[in-house]
Amino acid sequence: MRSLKLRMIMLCFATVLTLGLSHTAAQACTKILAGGNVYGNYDCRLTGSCDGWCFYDCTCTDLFPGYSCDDVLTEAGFILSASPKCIN
Amino acid sequence: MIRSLLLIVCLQLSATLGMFSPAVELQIFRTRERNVYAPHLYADKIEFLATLENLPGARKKQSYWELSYQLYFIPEAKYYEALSHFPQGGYDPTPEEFPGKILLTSRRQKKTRLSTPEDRTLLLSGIDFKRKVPDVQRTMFGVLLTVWAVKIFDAEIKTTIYDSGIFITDACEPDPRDKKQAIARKTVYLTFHVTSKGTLNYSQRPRILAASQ
Repeated sequence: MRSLKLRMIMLCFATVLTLGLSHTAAQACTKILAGGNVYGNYDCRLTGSCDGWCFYDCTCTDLFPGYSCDDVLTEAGFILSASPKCIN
Repeated sequence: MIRSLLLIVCLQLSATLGMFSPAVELQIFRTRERNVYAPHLYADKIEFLATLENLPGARKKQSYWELSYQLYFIPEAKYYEALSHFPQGGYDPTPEEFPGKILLTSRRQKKTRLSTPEDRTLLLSGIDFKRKVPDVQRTMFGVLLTVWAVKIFDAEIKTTIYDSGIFITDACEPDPRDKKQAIARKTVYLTFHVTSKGTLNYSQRPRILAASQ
């Protein structure tokens, strides 16, 4: 019986934590994404948050000769969008 | 007991953060040459245009919109120096983490009449820009930092929305006739959009085309 009560408390705790974390995480867009890879360095700045998406503009520096900012960002695993969706 | 609690916390963190991290999309990307002197890309004056595009309870008298903002210029060298101290990957810097920034303007405004698009617009024009930036710091990749905090009460859906953040953008902008060229930026935008569910979309672009209206 005591074990059942303990499990119920744990379950409630986990539920509250899940709701709280998901609420917080769903709303937050990171302001700056910065890093580098073999093709060069990048910094991406938040331009907006809309319908669960975070939008960024990026600048690349120190490109490896023959490669472009597209290569840096693609290597970093970003989705590149030419046509603005949601934010214009 | 403590081990069980720790296990729950770890599992929840990994599951929820993984599931709910917002999707990321990149719109504009360009390549930087360091510290290229470009005084022609600095406007003498700039304007700040804040818009509350959509508010379900815009016609209700009790609805209001309160906005405070500061606009700063950060010299290119100072910005990239600060960036080099940030951790790789995603980071949420505070304005204090950008030393050497120059304050251009600071305001706090409240609007209680919101029924028309004009009512939901805050325009501050004639902000001194070029004069405040030392000549040697007028380089192509200097940046503008907007620090903002908003409080919106929507009397239709009876919700108060609080949010705050920063936006960073270049001091110049792409030429609409040739996106590979840059021109002096004359307007800094801050756009908000409250959905019918009471969530807030926000942007430093002039328009938000949200699907969830």
